[in-house]
Amino acid sequence: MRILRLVLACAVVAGLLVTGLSLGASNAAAMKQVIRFGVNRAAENLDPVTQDANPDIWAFMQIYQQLVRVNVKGDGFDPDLAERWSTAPDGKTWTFFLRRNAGFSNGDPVKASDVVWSLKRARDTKGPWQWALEPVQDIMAKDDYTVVITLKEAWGPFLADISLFSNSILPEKVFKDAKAEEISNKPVGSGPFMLVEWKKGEELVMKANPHYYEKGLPRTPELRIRYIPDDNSRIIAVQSGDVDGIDYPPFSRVNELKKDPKLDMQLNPSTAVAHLSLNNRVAPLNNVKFRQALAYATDRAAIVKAVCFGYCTPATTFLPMTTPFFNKNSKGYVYDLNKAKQLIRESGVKTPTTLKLLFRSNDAVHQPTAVTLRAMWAKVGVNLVLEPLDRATATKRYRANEFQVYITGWTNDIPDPAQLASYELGFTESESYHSGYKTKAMDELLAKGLREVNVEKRRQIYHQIQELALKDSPLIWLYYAPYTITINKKMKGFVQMATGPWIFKNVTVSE
Amino acid sequence: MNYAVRRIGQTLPVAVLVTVLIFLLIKLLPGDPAAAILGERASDAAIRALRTQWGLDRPLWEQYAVYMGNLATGNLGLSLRYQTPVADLLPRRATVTLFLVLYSMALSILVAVPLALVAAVHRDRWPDQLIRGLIALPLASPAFWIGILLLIVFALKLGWFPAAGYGEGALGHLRHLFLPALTLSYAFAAVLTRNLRSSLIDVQETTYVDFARAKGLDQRVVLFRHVLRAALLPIVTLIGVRLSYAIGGSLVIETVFALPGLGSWMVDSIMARDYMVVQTLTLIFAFGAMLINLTTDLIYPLLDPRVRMG
Repeated sequence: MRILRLVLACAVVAGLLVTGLSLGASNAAAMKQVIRFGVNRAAENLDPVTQDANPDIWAFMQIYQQLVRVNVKGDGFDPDLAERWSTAPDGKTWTFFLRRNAGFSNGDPVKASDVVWSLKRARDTKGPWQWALEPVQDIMAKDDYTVVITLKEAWGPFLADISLFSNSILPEKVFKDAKAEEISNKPVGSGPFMLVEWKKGEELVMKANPHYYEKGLPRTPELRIRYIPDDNSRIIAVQSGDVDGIDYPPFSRVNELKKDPKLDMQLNPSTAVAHLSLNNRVAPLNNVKFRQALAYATDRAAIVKAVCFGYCTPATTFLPMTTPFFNKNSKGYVYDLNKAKQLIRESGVKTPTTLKLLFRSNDAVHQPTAVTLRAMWAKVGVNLVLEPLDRATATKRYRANEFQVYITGWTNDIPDPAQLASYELGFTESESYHSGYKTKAMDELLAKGLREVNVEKRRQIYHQIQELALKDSPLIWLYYAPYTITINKKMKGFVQMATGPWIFKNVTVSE
Repeated sequence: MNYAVRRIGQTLPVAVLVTVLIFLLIKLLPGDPAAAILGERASDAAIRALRTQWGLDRPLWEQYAVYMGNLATGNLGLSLRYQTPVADLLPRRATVTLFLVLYSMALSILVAVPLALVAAVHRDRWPDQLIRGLIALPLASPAFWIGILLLIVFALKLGWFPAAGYGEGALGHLRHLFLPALTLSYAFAAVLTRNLRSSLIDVQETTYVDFARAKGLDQRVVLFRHVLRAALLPIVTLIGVRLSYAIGGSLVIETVFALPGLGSWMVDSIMARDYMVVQTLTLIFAFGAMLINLTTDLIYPLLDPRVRMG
């Protein structure tokens, strides 16, 4: 009897614990003035000049502004801190007229001196984005609200470059003598939100910047970006209403999430291209016909089905579909085994031959890509040995050019083909995505594309570049992937740019 | 006293060896923190500059000396990823994990003690069979799977508990940690029930219990004052051992439930090659395990004087 009573007592204690705890749920009602967004990777550093990871960029884009901003579609520019701008006829002098009502979150107005200081810091600080201001000769403040930038030569993608996040405007007064980690840890900007608390590896808490120039925005006064690394847990969090939206639900769950009446499963146009880097320095990959054969032996439609559950689009050129000057008429490499076999014969490469495929083991799409490729290439006598390694190790091997085939991918940071073209096909920046590819014809075309300012002429040049890239096949382009985002239907006004960043300033979350 | 001094003396060299091992193991990992942090697109010059800035280009012994020197002065170094001292990030993280582990221990005991009592008192009858059958299940299920199941039922279907995070305020923490603590306690409650049950049965069969009964003592007094108290002694060791397991288990549980504890921090830091964080956490885990063992060893003679003789 006594035992039963004890059991009962334990049950009551447990019950109290559960019910008592659920009292805490009432707190949730008070949090409706907050946007809660769950992400798969945590922001680590909020210095716009030195960082190149999307979680950092997308987070600090809520805090900072640039002179001009990319429009949502990703094919042009809207005024931001500069309300208008003009170019001299020679294309070498750009004048930006700042709006007078923009303010940093500390209350100081945004002035030309802040622009000069920020851009010079972006140009002179060692980091992955210095190329964006490479053509700049000088940056001057003509008066408090006019900035004049002179270039060494006319530069086609200059406006795109100046819109890049690394060219964010920070308050000179606050950071002039500060250490770099202060910018990362206590960022101050003029964007719609300001950082009020950063629980590292857990949550970024942002509040509306009262000095933001667009009156009435942001519409929700608080934004919380919460790190939920596990895909299943992140999905449960949005399904249960614990958060209002999440990024990167895996393609395998898209169908199921689409059917949930409470949720809006978005597949947003992106600039993501998945591709294989081929090490062009080593045999047999130094043989162009062999590379072309591999491109023909790759069934992109099958990869899209296996890896993206049909939600991606087979790649037809190296450029993402959403990028200006993308060649819509390009067919790319259409799967053709006979052509692949014929090209291998012509290449003189003896089959069966063995290639090693390096990829990141903890990546949800790389594993199925690798397995699918192995099956496909086996049909033309190429045995793929799979080398899954953790991210840090795989990256190190790839950077040291110690690979034959490497699964990787790209997203644009500016709405212009120049960034990707120079990085992927130009030797100086990355040894052409570490492929080692370098030809005189390509180098000449790339240089022309950068210096041409006439839009139509630039279009032609980038079409030629796309054609030549396909012909030389230093890399194999696989597919264009959309950004997957799941949001609660109570959340309205959310936008994701084609270049990636989220826009929360118009977001409201209804009760 | 001698016993205590001897045990602590044995622990010290192990502690030093642990620091060397941890330092070397992490350096042996392929992959470079500068490259991991700057990403695929960083230039070689940028990576070299960062390595120099962090002292990663200096000889290993020199790096170890600096590390030990810093450790001796309580400087745990800088988290390379967050550009923030590890010591600043540590307290919040440690609190979460400690809370989680103790919470799960409390839940385990709350479940296991009554179950074991019922099973032992009704030995080999249906309540005992039922309980023994039930506890076989958690022993055979992986923690992350249980975690996801609990999430689906209690967070998604019933909406009683939040799906992720640590919450705000004591009540918020208690609520947010309930499901992860339950997941972590699940397997331990089963082990505890089994062990406590057999321990109870053993004690029930001793002569002093027979004597207590023969004296005409109330059954409840016999069970709670004599049997349960004696049966709990071996369980102390078990709790000690399982505490170490629980800290290990937190690695998985914290990732599933997005808890900002030491376990999830460890996983993220290994991926990013955040050396100082991994070093510090491994050290804390190792020292934690050593401390638990030491405490268990030191408590044991207090409970059972025969240990001191050996």
